Amino acid sequence: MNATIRVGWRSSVGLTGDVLAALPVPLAFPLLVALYYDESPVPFLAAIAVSIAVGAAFRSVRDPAEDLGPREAFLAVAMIWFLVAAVGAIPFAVAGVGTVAHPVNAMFESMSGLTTTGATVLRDFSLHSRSVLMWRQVIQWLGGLGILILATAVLSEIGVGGAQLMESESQTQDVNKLTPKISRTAQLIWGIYFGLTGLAVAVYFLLGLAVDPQMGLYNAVAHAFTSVATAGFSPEPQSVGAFHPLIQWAVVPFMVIGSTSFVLIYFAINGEPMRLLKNEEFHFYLGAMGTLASVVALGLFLDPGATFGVEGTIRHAVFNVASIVTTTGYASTDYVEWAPAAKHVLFMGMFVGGMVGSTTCSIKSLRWLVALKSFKRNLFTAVHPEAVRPVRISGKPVDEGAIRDIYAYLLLSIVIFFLLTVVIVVDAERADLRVDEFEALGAAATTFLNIGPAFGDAGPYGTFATFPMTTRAVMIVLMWIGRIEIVPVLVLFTKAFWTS
Amino acid sequence: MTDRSDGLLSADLGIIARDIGSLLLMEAGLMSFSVAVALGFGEFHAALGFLIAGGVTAAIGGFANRRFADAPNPRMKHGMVIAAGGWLTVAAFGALPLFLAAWLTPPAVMDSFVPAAADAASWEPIAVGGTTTVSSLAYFRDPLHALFESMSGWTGSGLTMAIHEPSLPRAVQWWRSFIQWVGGVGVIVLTVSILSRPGSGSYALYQSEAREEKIHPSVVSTVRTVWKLVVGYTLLAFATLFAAVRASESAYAESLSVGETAWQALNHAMTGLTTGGFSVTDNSIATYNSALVEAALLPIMVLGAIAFPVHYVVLRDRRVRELVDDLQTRWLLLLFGAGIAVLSIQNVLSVPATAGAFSTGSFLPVSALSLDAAQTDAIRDSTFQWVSALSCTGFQSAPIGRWVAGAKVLVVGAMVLGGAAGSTVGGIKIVRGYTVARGIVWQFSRVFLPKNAVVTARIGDRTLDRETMEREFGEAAIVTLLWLLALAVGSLVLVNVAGPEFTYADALFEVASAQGNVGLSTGITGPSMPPLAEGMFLFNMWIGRLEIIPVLVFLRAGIWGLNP
Repeated sequence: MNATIRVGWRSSVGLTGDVLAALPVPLAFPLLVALYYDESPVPFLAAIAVSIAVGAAFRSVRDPAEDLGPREAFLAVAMIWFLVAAVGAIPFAVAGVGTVAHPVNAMFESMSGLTTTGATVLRDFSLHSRSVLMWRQVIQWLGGLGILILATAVLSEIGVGGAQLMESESQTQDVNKLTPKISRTAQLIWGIYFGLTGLAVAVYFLLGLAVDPQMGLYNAVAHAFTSVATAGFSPEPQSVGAFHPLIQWAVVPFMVIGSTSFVLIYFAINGEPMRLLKNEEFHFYLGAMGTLASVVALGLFLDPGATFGVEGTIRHAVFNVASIVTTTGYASTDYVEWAPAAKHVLFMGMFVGGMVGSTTCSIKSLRWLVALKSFKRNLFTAVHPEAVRPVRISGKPVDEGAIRDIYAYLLLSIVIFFLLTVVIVVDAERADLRVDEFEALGAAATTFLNIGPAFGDAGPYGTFATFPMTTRAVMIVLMWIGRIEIVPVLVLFTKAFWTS
Repeated sequence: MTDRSDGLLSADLGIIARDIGSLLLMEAGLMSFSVAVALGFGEFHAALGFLIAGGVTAAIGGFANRRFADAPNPRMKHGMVIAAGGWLTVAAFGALPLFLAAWLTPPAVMDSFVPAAADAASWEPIAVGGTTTVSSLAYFRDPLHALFESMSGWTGSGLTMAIHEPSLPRAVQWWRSFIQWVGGVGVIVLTVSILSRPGSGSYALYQSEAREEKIHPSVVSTVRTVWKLVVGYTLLAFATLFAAVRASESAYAESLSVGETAWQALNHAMTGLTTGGFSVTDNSIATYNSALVEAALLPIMVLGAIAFPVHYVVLRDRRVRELVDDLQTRWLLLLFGAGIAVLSIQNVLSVPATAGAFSTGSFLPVSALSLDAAQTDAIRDSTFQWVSALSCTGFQSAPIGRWVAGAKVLVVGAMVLGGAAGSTVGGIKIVRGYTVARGIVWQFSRVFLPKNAVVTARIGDRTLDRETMEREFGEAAIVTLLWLLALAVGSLVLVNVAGPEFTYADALFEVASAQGNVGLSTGITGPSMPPLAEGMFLFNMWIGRLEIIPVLVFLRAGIWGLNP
């Protein structure tokens, strides 16, 4: 057995260095906000200094002869997501107010941001400066951008957990040369992402002028960042519930578009809208969202405790289901107070997720669609073993290897989710904290699947700070693993990755 | 390519009806035998019930069998439909004796079944025919309860509608144990003859077993060998239990007559060995409150969780090493040990927080290893319950409903996994869990290998090429995923319809118990449970026993027929 390390780790570290060295650009944004509102710029200056120093150090180890192959890409992805989150935690820790002064909480907030989760440990929003609150929004927007590039250029090329089934704009012939692919995809995606964000800022700001003075330019920018990134942080403790109903309705389409395949949006913009409209995954995604929203709306109508009126009932059902299914994590009302059945439907919605190739998290519609079609196929071949019948998505046959990848991904997700639930339950008991099992399940799903709020104390108007510190530390790791689709992290622990 | 028939009754339907008919004829035979048991105990009303039930079953089964006698031989595609339909039909007819006995026995006679020693004053009276009785037999006047009991018996689950088993007639107690015992053998036959065919989702699992460890080439001789093993083990278990109960010094055990002891030992031997879990005592095994009886049951449940081909090899070749060499048995024994340790730690730590969650009366006279009496009791209950859960038996020695959520969730894990494929356990089974785990690792490390790399994997002592390995993973993954989906949906439904006193962990536990054919209960299951939940459990037990795919094929055939 050849035990020498065959991974070109130098190029992975170098790429991580590139990303870290670029962090001062997004950090400059909250810095400007701090200067504008006359708040302390120190938290951001500290983070900028660290990112430049570490970035330079990492770049210096690069070996220009090595190119980025699948292994190197995995290693780089795992490192980038972890280290960017670590740098992102610096402003919270340096600012030193509220719960996030503690390093673990700062890391939780930053990881929750970068992974576009949206689970918060903040308790009292009024303690924090406007610039720190804006940094939470920026880091989520950044996380959304990162995942777009990862999903469209890296995971779909290497073929992780069925991601190879994604409709991509061109399939590269050689998976060992990922760098050109990444930069080309990035250019295409950036345009759409920036455009959508700008559009959201304009829509929110104009609506704010018209109906709700609370939605000023600051909030318009802050919410545009986190709705297109399907991320879910809000500088308002009441989330989007703080705004006029019209604005709540306006947020829904941006969450939905954020969870739609950006590659298909690219085609739609470039004169091929049918590729999006006839895509089966798109139908499944909208169908799941519509069905769940109808069930929740029905539940709220029947619930004597819920008094929202007709428009309010529909709005809250549509908004919160869309928020959960797209994995955004906003809330238009505190759904913790709803009847259990409605909460159970929301819980189920957590596992659906939007389309691959978007900023969405969770399992994603494509995987469920392929799995369900394959189950159906299996019932047919059970009776007719001699028949050959490929599973088809949007008319194209699906590779059997990809189907098995999806099975593996689903099973692994379920197992990790279950283990995390056990950790939360047992750790809460150890700390003598009353967390009922449903709250634990919700908290496990919402962090691992990167959604945001859960139920009980960790609800949309609550905080994750009530969980024991150990639980939060585990959640940090699982948000990280969940966001980069599990595999890039787990393969680091296999021998085959480092040697063979 | 298929035999299309334009008639109302296609050839497919004929084949299926004929084969299910012959299953019913066998069941009628079991009922006739039970008539003798009822008469032997002087329970004439119950005897009449069994007689009528047997007659009806024989008539319908005989008619179906005769009417379609000239149908062609069953083909592979019929196998799964016959298995799923057969289990359902047999369970439905198996409810008849319970239902008839309950209606034919007058309330006054029902009361006479209630043991004099029992603390019947605290039992809830049941209204029947203008009067009330405390005999649990009256519950079976509700056809849904009778069907539930029969399905729970035939699938080897052990969840029961009879709250107070001692107040049932002997014949009904016998029928419950008897169907679990026969149902257990039925599972092995199912395994060998149906599930070891392609497409069942379990094919890879059992095909491999059949190739390497097939007991005998033909189904008939396999059944004969399995019966020999089961009868032999049952007698052994009976003797052990009888001795243990006689030797036990607990107040309850000492109050039993020799005849009563033998009766209980026989019933518990039958349901323990086939990992069924029905009991004839009021609070399952907790009634004995005896560490000795629990200790005697442990090896019986473990035997039931080991694959029958392994038993055969061990006994024929006198090769005890096979227990370690066989992949499933090795893991099974490991999981028994590891699980007991983990569950014990969790429960010992939770002792201060949970009052009345464990058996009382320190079974060790002295405190050992600086554990106090309550803690050693927690370990004792953890041990028994873990073995009962992983072997999917369902004997209960402690009020699990009062355990902390962490402990419940651990036991759920055991019930979901279950014991070794090829035995009478439920759950997804060890070899499938192992294949899935190996497959996941393979599926992800595949990314780094060249497309044409030659790879082989070893599962147990079989060496698999890439294609076989991938196919086996695919089949195992489908069943596992469907199993978990059904569990998730079922538990969410249950937590909404069960009373507010039950938490989500309770609901998850109960559905895992039903679908894993285990029979442990947190207290949700009982005659007062919502009918929707009761009906759902029927489905859970049914799909759990047949490993899901055959039931789905059955339902699909019911809607679209067997032709493409």
